[in-house]
Amino acid sequence: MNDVRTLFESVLTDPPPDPLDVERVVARGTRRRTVRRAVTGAAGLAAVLVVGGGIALVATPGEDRMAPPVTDPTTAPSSTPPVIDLSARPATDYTCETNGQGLGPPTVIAQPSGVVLRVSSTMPPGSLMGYTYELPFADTGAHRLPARNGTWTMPLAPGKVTLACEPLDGILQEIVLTVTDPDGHWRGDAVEGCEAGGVPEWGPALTGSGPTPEDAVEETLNGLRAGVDGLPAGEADYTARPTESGYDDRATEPWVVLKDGEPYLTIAMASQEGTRFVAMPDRLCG
Amino acid sequence: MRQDPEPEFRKWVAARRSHLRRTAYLLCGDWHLADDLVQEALTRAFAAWGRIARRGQPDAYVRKILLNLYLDHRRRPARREAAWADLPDEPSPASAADDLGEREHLLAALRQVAPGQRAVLVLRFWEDLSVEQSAQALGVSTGNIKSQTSRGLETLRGALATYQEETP
Repeated sequence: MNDVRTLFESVLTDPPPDPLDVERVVARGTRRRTVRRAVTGAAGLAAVLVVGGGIALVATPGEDRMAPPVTDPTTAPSSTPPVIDLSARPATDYTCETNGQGLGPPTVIAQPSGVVLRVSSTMPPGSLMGYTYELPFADTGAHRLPARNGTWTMPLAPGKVTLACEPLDGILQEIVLTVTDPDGHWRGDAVEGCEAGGVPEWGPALTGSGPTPEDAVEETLNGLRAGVDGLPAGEADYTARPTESGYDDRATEPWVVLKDGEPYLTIAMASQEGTRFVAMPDRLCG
Repeated sequence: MRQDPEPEFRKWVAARRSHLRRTAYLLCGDWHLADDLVQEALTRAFAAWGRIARRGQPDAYVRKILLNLYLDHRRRPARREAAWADLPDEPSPASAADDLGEREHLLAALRQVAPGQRAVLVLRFWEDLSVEQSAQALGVSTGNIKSQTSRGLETLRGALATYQEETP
């Protein structure tokens, strides 16, 4: 349809002057590269902090969103030395303020139910706390939760994840958290029958919440039934079930939405204080 | 010894920035936002330029980052309605001539196409990507691209037809 190309060219006439500051791009890009190297270096350093030899199960960038190796208990030596990561803790404190953010420590040990984030926020109501994970080709996975005081348990895969304080109007701030999983709680993100595709653009509109995971998922399903994904309402039958992936705990176990019985969409689940659950559409199947 | 990626990056930016900027504008419909998206995409690209250059497809990689930034921006509830709302209500003096009104109507028609469908139309008809290449760029199936193209064109045709009916 060549007239679409013509239409595009018509609206592109007389663009304003290009304000791109290449010096700023290079300076900011260099800083980010330095941060990434520092994170990688820290992970490498942690990996050698092993008492008495053995293998440290410390996530490195190449292991993003992958399950840790499984050890056969029948053949593993009984005296496996403990892994000591001097910087990691079972929970991390994340502070969101309008003039800055803080994260301590920057490395956290995954718990059976996921990653525990103690959030302290002084940002105005409506501000968001986002997390972004890297997909193989470029970064696309992103979710957002309210930036409010409280403890969140989040389904963050071992590896690196970018956290962000997002004010309603203002500059988004980002910081990198490293998740390690020495105890092997992460089961991987593969969902049977669902070859993960892109992230749906209508995902945030379908974020559901409730006092139980089932309630949160039901709210998401109701959005789908109302045609939020662009399909006419009532065209398909939507159901959902938990999957045996992610973290091995009901609180943050991912779900898969079935459309007319076929895997359609995965849902990531986060929990605040164990009393409030948020279902976030994650990835489309196929 | 690793080669300094900066000279090659600068050369690539000089050659591609104009096209990248236009692509961003077609996606979001606002020059200010387009410039922000391009600057952020290039920043991310430079941070990984060594890897990008080794793969040998910088255009595809940076376009992918730009698409993700745009769609991610649209996903944020607080900003979802802002992008196309920045269009001027009144013609600017510099381009007040003849065809500005028509251009505004074309923009208005394009504005009615959903963001994801608009991204597909931009990839297919501005970037000249095939269905398969568009699917790879957006991380979706080829069937998804075909249906999104169809829906996007249908919306665009409808909006343009309405404009033509209203124009004396």
